[in-house]
Amino acid sequence: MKQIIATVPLFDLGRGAFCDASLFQGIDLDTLRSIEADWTPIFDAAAPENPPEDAHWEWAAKALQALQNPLSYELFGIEADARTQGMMLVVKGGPKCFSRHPEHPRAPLIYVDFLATAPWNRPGLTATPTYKGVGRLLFMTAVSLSIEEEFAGRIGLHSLPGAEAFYRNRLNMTDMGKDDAYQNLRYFELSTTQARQLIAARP
Amino acid sequence: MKLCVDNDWLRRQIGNDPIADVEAGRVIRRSADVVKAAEAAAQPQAVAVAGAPKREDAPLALLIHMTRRRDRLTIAQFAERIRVSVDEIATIEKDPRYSPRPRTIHNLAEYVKVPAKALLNLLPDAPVVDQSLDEAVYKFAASSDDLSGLSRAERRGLNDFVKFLTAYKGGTEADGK
Repeated sequence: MKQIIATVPLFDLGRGAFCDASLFQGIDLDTLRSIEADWTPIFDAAAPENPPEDAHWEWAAKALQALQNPLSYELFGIEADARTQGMMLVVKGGPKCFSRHPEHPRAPLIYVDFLATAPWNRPGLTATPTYKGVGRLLFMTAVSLSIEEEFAGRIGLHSLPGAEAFYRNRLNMTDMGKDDAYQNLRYFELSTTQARQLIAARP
Repeated sequence: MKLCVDNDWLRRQIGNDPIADVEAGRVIRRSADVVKAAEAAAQPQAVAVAGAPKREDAPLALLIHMTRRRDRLTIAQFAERIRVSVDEIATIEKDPRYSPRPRTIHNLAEYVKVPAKALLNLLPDAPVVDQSLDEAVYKFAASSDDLSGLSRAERRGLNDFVKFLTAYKGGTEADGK
């Protein structure tokens, strides 16, 4: 089930002004349709790949039915202009949800399984991105969930190479180095102290 | 769920953020990628620590079951008492491979009055590296029988196990200890 959590600001780079977007918890068929209709053709045009046999949204929609009311994860999405601007799946339990940070080894945390923005919002894919702020909004949603789950804002994630500077410099996460158990992507953590500082931050 | 920052905070931060890629974790290009991620996340217990032995004796399920019986609580009452969903308590008791959410572990530890770290060692994906814990689990499992109320021996078994967990200082390989 999908439900709106809040109306949040996104920065419209074309207009140079903030606009309203909707932050959702959960997913529905419209979200899957939006990803398949709006995202996939752009990704395929940029770097074609052979989709697996079952990679149709109709299949995905059926499969999703079996995944309602999850205990161990949450899906969040941001919508503006009737399109999905970004999505995030976070995991609340299991082996990835224990801290590797020296501040609190093995303390429970929220692990970001994926954080993805629409292709038109990615400077790596387009010279003129549409919106700025999707990553920040989704990340702060994960921090909020972490607080709600009594994990004090702790977050773990594997950054894709183009995003490392964002997590290191803008969100002040600790870079724990390359993780050879996860395609050599760098693993980042937001510790309890860093979460507190992030929320208290003044630009 | 409520956001921990307000829209003024978000506007200020987003305004100062560079125009940058922000992607993390698995690559999402199509709807099927989202569903596959959700399927994988729905079964965290299937992710094993490489090379580690697995717990087969479901000590956490047993601990919950015995504690419920001691306190004469139904699954629903117990779930309410420790502030987690009924589904999750039922799943823990039914499925020995299910690895509960950290919050559940935290709340359960609070209720049973043992350190949460000790309970982490009872999870199905916790590699067992400490023989004393293994022995305590075995003894606890052997002491239980599914009668309606706790027998004196069962009560003693539960008390001994809780006492052991309270004093337990060992760790798992994942602790790096």
